[in-house]
Amino acid sequence: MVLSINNTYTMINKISTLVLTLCVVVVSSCKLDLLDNPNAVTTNNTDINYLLNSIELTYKDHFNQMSDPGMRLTRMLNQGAAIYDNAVSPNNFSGAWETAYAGLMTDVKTLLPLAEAGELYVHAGIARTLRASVLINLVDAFGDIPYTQAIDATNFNPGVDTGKSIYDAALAELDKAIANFKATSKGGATGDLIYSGSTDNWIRAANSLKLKIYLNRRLTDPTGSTSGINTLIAGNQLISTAAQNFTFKFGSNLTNPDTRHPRYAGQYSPTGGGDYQSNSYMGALYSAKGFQDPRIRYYFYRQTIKNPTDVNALRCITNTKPTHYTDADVFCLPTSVGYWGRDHLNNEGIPPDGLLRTAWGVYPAGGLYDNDAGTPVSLGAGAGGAGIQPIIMRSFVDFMLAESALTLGTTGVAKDLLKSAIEKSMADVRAMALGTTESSKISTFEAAQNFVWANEVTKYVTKVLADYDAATTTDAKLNIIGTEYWLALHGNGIEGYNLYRRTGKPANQQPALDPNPGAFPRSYYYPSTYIIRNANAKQKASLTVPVFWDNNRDGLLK
Amino acid sequence: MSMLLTCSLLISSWAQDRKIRGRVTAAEDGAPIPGASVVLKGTSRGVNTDADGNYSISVSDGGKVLIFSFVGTAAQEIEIGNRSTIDIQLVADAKSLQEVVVTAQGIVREKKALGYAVTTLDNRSIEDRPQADVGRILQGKIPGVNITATSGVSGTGTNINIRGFSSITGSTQPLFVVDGVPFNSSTNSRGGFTGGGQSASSRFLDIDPNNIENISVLKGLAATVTYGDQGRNGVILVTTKNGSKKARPTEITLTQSVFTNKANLPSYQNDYVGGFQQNLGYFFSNFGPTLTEALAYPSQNTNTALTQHPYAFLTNATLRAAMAPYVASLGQYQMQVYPDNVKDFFRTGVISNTSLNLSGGNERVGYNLSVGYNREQGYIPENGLTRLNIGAGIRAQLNKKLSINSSFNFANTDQFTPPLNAGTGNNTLSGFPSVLANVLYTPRQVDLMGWPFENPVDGGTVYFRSGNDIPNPRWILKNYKTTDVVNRFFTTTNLTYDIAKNLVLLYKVGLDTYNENQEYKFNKGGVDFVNGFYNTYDIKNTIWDNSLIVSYTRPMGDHFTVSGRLGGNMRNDKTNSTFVSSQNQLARNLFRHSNFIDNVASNGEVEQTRIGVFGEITADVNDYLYLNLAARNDWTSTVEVPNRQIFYPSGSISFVPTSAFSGLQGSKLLSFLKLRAGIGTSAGFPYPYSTRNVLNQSARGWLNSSGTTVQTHSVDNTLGNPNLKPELHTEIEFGLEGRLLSNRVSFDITAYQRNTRDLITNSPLDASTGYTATTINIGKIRNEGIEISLSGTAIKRGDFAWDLTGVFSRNVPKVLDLGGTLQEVQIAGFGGGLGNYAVVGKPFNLIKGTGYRRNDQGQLQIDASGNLLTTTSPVELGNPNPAFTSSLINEFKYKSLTLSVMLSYRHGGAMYSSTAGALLGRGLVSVDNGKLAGTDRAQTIIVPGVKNADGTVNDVQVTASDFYFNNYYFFGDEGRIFDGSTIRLQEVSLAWQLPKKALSKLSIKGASLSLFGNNLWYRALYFPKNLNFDTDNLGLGVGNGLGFEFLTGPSARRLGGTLKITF
Repeated sequence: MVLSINNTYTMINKISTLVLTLCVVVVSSCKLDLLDNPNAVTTNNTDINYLLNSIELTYKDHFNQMSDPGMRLTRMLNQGAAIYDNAVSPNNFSGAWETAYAGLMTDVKTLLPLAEAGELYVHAGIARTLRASVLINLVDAFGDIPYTQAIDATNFNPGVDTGKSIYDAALAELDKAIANFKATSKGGATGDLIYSGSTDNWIRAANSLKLKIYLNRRLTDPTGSTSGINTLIAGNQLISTAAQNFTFKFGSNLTNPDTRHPRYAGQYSPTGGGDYQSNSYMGALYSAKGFQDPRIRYYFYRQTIKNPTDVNALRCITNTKPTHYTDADVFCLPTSVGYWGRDHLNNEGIPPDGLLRTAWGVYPAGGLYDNDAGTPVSLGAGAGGAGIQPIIMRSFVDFMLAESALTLGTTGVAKDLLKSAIEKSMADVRAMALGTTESSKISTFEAAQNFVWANEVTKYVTKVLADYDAATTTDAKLNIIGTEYWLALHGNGIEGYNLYRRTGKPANQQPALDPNPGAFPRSYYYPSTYIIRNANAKQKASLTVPVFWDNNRDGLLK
Repeated sequence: MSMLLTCSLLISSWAQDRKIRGRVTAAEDGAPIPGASVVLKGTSRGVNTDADGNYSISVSDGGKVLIFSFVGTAAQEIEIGNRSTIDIQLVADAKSLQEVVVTAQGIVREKKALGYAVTTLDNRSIEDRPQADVGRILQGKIPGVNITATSGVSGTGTNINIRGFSSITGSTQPLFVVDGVPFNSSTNSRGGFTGGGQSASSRFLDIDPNNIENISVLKGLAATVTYGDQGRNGVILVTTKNGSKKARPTEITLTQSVFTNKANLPSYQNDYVGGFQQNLGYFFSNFGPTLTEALAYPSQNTNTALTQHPYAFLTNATLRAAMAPYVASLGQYQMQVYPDNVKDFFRTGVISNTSLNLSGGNERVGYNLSVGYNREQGYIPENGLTRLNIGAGIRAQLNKKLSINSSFNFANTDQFTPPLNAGTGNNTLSGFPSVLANVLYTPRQVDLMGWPFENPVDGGTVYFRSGNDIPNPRWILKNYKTTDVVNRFFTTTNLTYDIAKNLVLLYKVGLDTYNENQEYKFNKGGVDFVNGFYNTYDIKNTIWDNSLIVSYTRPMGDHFTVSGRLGGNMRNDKTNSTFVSSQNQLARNLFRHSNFIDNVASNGEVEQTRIGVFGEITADVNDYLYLNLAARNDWTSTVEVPNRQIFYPSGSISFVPTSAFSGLQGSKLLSFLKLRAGIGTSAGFPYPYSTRNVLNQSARGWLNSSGTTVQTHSVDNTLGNPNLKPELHTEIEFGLEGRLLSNRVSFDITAYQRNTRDLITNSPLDASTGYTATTINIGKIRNEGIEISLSGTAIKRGDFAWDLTGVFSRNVPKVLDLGGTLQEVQIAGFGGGLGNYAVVGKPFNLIKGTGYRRNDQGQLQIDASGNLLTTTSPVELGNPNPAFTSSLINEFKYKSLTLSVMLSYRHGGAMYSSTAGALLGRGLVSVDNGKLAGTDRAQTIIVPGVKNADGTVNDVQVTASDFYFNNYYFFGDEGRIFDGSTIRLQEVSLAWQLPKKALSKLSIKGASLSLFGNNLWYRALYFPKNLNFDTDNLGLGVGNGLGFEFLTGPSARRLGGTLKITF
């Protein structure tokens, strides 16, 4: 009864056929073609307006991420590390890198062919302007970065381009954007969240970005910068009116979506907390001129108007001022009226002061106007977060032109430009605040205090201009321009950091608490994700490596 | 027991001379043994006994001897002689040579024939335990299987890894096969470990452990190949009582268990009270003075914290006013220590478990019905679990050729808990609440259980910190709920048809479908989600599984048998989910989306299909050499058409020298020896929809200045990879099994090496490519390990016996390559920071995080204030993979009493502990616990190291709070890393079999009473003793991460008893 091997073989074959046939019967009821994700859209059914919305919204995130370290390094906000090396550590920038490249630039690359095919040039111009701005910001932050090989799904290890070449590319991109804005388009960008599709405003924004590029390059290319800036002045297409201010405007919606200013959202809650303001910035606004800066009640909101005496609430009140601090440097408490922030490079733990420390005010975060109420912040308080990101304000343009007139001799008088810059800053801060729900509170408070805004501004401008006249050297004059620019930049750390590296101004910044915090960062470390994931990436030797336009001497910055 | 069925199919129509009849009973109690095998020696003729143990066999002239055998008994050969009736008693023999195990596709085979390792546990090691989760019951019992609980909170998930990690970013969880068909065992967590995912259950929680007949664990690829890609992480084969093919006596079994459930908590010092820098205050930290000091020192005894209730200091004026009547009602407040403030927050939960099992039938038809009801209270109030399981199984021989076996199971699992989320000792992370985030480090003078927790005006939370920025844990208990209700239906049907002689057709169909409804219900008034939050997540998961298997068995003469199987399998998985989140609650305590202002909804569907054809050939030469060849070819729906198909074979060989060589036969020293070797391969398929690009869309991306919604489309950050291929796993294993000293000692040793290459990895991309990740075939991981189990009888004297079983596992997972230039991939943790990493050349899951800054000589660098500095980037902090895990089970038997004691020991494996960091760093527990033990916090300390500024030896003194908080335990991650070696008394049970004589008068067939304890004692050797820290915790939740603990719940200690009665 032994079957031959052959028979067995035939039998197995028959069984195989049987099994396969049965499988096919069962299987035919079930398909393997399940490759398209049934839960998402693709480029085939996208809408260019939705892409543009996404680009603009990503840009605001980019601005916030890049502005944050700049504010902290330049003492506009507290820096919570003990030494510089940890303040700009590689881990801090992975998110910003991702937002810029995988967020914005990929979407721009997707939008441009669609815009050009559809002859929707306004869309293309906006996308190009914002991409150019992002590229400059990345160069200013990191130096050499991937550009020509970037945003390519077939190259996982894009190499870098020099910062200098990217600046050139950005200038070219802005010119192309301006050409786009001037071209006849089949449709406008009516949903544009920044300028509601106004091509004139966009052209001014693009030109003002060019101004920033030329100004940053003034140390290494004074001739090119001079002619470039003079051309821009002659063209008279820079941001100059309040309506032309390049800002992103936030709302006050709490959820779905949360449209509040990110600084507000992080602080205005039942438990407060959030950012510590910088003692030195508050001190400068409070008393550097001998009287209060008119903007101080707009910039900061004091949750208490009395200085703390409880060491549990503020530890440094029992500490002596570090010996490396000068008499002019503020320490621990910058005033006697409750302004409560932190000194430079303070990495202490957090005591229960979330409802005591000084908070962001109504400008630019959309918080509370400081009318001496001295009550804690809360959810929805003040302007509800309906603030702005001051990306390029008309005052910034005038400050840049003042610096350029002073240092390069470009068209215009530095002192006049300084004056108009301060006046524009004052006006825009106040106008923004009066445009919010805090408006009536401001007029009530000012009336009660017999506070006449115009007089305060005049007093301030007069003082600054007198100091300017009294300054004997270009450097001293530059320090005044730089300091005023710094004071006007509240909420914009990108330009603050550029200003400090370009000019070393304001001079005599508050020292770090540790007498040896390491050298001041001339650029940021590359993000750790970039270093780890990209075979062509190489971390810089130290954070003293300057960006291409910064040829200042070592040790200028502290 | 399909082998037996297969045996019975061998009955052929030979000439029938005469019939022998008889009855097979058990020697120990005389009970009939149904399903015993009766074979005429030297032929393939055999029958099985019926439900009453009776048999009838035709014997030809030549037949002289009958062989009687049954699982777990010693086979007996009986001379027939002239008898026509042969009754026989079989003697139980646990070490029987005929040991059989359930292998892939439910095939029952003799263990000695297997060329790979399989571990089988019977119901005795599974049932009547105080754990509802079958995963946790298996902890430590199976060599090569590493099981870790997410936390001790009732109903939380369980991580199971068999032989290490076969994937970097893909699933490494094993396949559950219940009654022959796949069973979804996902952990459906919403949000990661910082998004509330800690409370999610693993879906094998739906299995009632008391309804399990046995579990087989197939570890290597040589064993699992026919299960296809799903089996690549090992297979846990569960046979339920309803799905069992075993004929059963007609009886009713009623089981009732009651257990207690307690949390393992730290021992606190009660000398120093809350504050910082020896200054009294109501802080997170407990670095204040002692109460005596506070009363004695002028700087402290004027401190208002001593004389005024913290609710008098609340910064928020409205809240302070709301609490003023309470503060006033206290009269003169005097700060005091509440030594039990943490202990009293926890409770002793009660677990009760009732099971009823009915079975009966005869040799043609059998049935089993089971009902189980499990009710478990967690050690946190408002946490618990109820589960109802109803099941039925039938088996029937429909006619001579066709038999059917079906089981139907329904499970309703209802889990509820306050929210759990990761915390590191400063509230919870990422703004998602957690009831336990702040409990364990409650300052000693905070009366957690006595002070009001609710604002009497608006119902919001109130707690001791002046900013009111800590949610009161009792407020969370009352106001926050996480619920998870699952209704699951699971059915399998096996149809067996005898096509021809030696040829059997088996059709298996399984349906596993469940609806899971998860809810987060958070009232307004808290610290996170201030205005309230409600989220519903509804999942419907369905698996259809069809298999058709043809088996052929053929004895080729007396010494050579060949059998083959050819099968086809088709599996379809479909998951539908709907996710609705609402914020801004209107009325408190009402959880309907319409009671919230803002609603966001999304839903989706994920479907995949796999089709496989597999075959297996086994050859048995002379009962001492066994060869097994198997292969499978798969088609998957998750990759593009050209890459859809993959073929993978396996082979194994088993050789029994003690049978092969006559010189070894009958040796007292070496009773049995088997050598085995196997090589296996398996495939892995990517998650669906990984090959094509998509855009993200938001219908409510923004509101423009006039309040109109703005929509967005943006390119997804994950790049679709059209070239994605299935991955291939290869494993070789060698094993040695044997029994020594007349079967008194047995051992089973396995060594394996598994290589996975072209790993399907969710690989990170540098964002400058435009994307942040893609799914790609990269990398190579190697897992090497050894598994040993040893068992023996230490003493056997009269009625007393002491049996020992030892289990040892060691697995070394190493990352060999990450594809080209990529040097590391983060597996889990905080993006770019603290977490588990795959680093080329290092053990998988390496822990990296912020370390302390050291100079080139390795000395710690100290800043001007005398504090440690942290590193700029994450550095390597430890290897979380234990060097080995082991356990020792002692079983002492005396007459009808059985005492079982299971000890386990884990050696090594780094662990990041937030509990240690928070309690040491905040001064709740001192390393040697407080003043009484000699710690005087008034003394300053110098951190050993050199000054960062000039490299000279550090001489800057810091305070105790600086030392613990500002240095070791809160600044940087390095201070929180400990060696995880732990010794544990895992299970203790004492069972008493009631005497049958006494019971028979009550018409009770059998009864037993047992006491059971789980995790009764443990000690993590390198953690400060008073932390009482348990390393059995997975802060990152179920997944590929390892070695983290984030204050999501201490382990539990469970103790109770079970009464079992059989009618």
